[in-house]
Amino acid sequence: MHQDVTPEVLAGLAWYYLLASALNAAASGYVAYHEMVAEGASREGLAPRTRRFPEWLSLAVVGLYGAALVTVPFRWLLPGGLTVAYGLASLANGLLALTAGADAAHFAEVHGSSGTQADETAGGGPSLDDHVPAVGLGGPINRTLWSLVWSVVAVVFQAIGLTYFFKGPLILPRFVRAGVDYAAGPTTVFLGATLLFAAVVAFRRVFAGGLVAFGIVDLALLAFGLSLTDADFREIVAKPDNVPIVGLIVLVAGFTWFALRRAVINDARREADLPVLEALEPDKVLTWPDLVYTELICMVALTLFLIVWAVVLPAPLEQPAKATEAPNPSKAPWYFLGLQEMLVYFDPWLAGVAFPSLIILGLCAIPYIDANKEGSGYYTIAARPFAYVVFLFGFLVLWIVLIVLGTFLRGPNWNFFGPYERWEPHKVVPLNNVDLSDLVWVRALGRAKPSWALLREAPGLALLAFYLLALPPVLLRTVFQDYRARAGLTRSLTTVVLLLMMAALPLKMILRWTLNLKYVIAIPGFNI
Amino acid sequence: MSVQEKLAAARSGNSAKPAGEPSPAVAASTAPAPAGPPKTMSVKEKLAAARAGGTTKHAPKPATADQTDAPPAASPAVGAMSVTEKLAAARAGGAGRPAPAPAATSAAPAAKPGGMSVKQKLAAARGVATAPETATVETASSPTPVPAQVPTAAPRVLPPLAEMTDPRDLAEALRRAGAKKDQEAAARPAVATSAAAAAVPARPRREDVLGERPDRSQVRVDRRGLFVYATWWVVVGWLAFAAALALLSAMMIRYLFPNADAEPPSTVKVGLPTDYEPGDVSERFKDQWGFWIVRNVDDRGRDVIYALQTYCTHLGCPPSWLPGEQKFKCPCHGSGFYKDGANFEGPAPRPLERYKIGLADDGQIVVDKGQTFRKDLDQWSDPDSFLAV
Repeated sequence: MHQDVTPEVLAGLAWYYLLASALNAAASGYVAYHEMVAEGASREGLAPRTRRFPEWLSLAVVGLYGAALVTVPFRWLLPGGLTVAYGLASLANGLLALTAGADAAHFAEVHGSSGTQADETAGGGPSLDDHVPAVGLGGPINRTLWSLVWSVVAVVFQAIGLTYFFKGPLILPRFVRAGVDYAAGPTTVFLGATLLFAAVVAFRRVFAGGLVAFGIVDLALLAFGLSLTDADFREIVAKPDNVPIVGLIVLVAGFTWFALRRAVINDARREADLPVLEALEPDKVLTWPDLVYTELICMVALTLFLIVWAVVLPAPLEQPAKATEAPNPSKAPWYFLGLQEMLVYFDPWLAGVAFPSLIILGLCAIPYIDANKEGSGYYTIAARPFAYVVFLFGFLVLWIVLIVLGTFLRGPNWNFFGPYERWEPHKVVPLNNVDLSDLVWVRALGRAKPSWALLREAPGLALLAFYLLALPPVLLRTVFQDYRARAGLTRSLTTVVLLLMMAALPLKMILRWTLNLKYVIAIPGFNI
Repeated sequence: MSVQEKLAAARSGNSAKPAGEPSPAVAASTAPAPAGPPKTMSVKEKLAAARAGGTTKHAPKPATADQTDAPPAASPAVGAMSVTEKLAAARAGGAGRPAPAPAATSAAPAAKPGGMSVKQKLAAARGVATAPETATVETASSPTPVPAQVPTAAPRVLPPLAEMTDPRDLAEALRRAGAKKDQEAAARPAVATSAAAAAVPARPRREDVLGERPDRSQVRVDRRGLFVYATWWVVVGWLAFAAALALLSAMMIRYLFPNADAEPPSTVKVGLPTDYEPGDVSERFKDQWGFWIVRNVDDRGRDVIYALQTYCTHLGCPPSWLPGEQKFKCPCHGSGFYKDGANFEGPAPRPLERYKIGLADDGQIVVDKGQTFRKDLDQWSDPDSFLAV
């Protein structure tokens, strides 16, 4: 019943790798032929380019893709029409990749011999050939090398695609899947996401570079393509309910990277006493046509996209609603899955009422408690590291990661399942949780729990009092001393309390994973 | 000699001979004699004759006035004749004519001194033969020009307002009405004087007013008319609205007290205790009644039967019984409960609740959903919460 690969899957994967190959071929062509001017750099003083996109190549690529597109709808006329179309498209990819790589090498040679051709640079000044990335993103790149790298990747992806097209069962090895499933768990996912976030912020100069970013994109494409050969993974990812989440991951990663890149460049420019990128842009643009045209095009494209989506992916209707039977797993809409994940760790009134209200209130409070006047109107990290890290941690790790976890990794009975694991309704996961009072009275002190509730919960109450009453003054005198001096007592106190509330979620999660702690305070009707 | 007189004279063919000094005494007595030769008749006589000829046909009031020949006010001299009189004359003249509008319109320019109510003016403009106060003021021998024959003052012949079809007519009528209103406004101080008060006309009789009650299209012209008309409609409308509201409220209140109580009975017989094997969890009553029947050994080693509610204490999802793991597991957030209902995993804060259970007279087990027992409140020791086998 669960076959890893079927002919349809193989065909789909063949086209998936064709697109991946096309992406890399385009990247190769971009690096080889394009006049690359870094953000914030000026063209002035740069000699004209020596590189031109060959006319015959554009004709060939467009012609081949056009022929492939024409062949697909008329494949009933031509036996093996689909094969012909695939062959034409892959030929175009290979042609573009290899020519770009070869031309890049040629240009480098011409450039190195300081010019014998008519359209080369005169004199020894810098030319548009010499791509220097934007300030802060490192030294000049070797265009020949990177053009060749992307060419090779394009050819490899195309080869994988052709393998799938001719029914080569190239699947993710079983031991890899088993290893990933073994390692996966709520703890690993959450801590891994936190570490990844920390790494991205710490090494943001590396991640902001286009080459590194595109390399990560290629790796992600490969990993996703290989994972699609697993039936269980495919079933979850391709469910019409979950497709938006896949798109959401791509969008969030893309926009976060874009903002990070601008911030890194701006920070370096400010260090070098250069104006930030946003200051170089014109202050005002025309409503007509600049804004209206953009909106019109977006409107048309989005409408088209939604129509295609609605036609291709039918609405995921389930069984008729029944009061006594819930679907297993029973999931909230995808945008609420972060909240639903919180419900695992907290009492309903806390996770369903108090925390959402605090999230909204905290977001509303940001403009009022922000005493930092830097970073208004331009991207920056160095000028406001605290705000950047706290906000993005809350958004990416405490919201997006929890949505992804709830969507892809929570299966029947809300158990955690690895990405390649079968959703087995009878999976037994030990979830025996204990309250803090159990830990203190029974395990630590070795005696029965007192029957009087207040005494029984005294450890939890003390912990809560420490967390909410003692910790803020301590934090204000130490970590937030400067902030308190700038912002005043009220604002700094609000900030600290909101931060502690925000930190309560990951803290409680960690306590659950490590100590199986269920509630810190367990008084009926008031569980924390 | 006034212009009217001159005109009348010209009409009667005696243009060359001016009509001498007007004598006020002539008119009333000689009026009913229209047959006289034109040459010998004075202008006033001619006019009176013309008017008499016109009025006797249709309008009774002016006719009677003519017959009695006793105007309460002394017949004024031609020059001193009030506008009201002139208008009355004009109206009377127009009453019997097929096209009476010119009468009014021609009178309009002469209406400067005021003394005429808006209603009268409107009536005049409308050209309807109302003959309001004219019965008393009528002077048979007034030298008012015969309207139909006035060539200069009536450039446009207007049909009655109700029959107007040409918008230009309507515009003209409106323009005239506006001009009249202006004049009236200008003459208002004069109205207040006693001179005008002397000529205060008597109120029109009700049947006369009814006879010319404006139809719907004319309501707009007369604001007081609109007010009068709106009043009883408004009252009727509000009454209807209040009645509808009261009816609706009554229906809603009645809805709160249904004839039949559709609430299902809270008790159900679930069979004999011997129907349940030790260790059984029966799901027979889950769908319809919302409880499991469990036969289990309790903490004190007794063999008991109890009814567990099928709602998770976390957020109310229905858990599923997993026989392999011997536990209830909630699909929503993963709360787990032992067979006795105690929560042991996941976010559920307390054990599942039990329903009241007992034995009926026929030996069957009766479950009563009207009462629940919670373990966290130490209610599971209540003898009603379980059935010892």
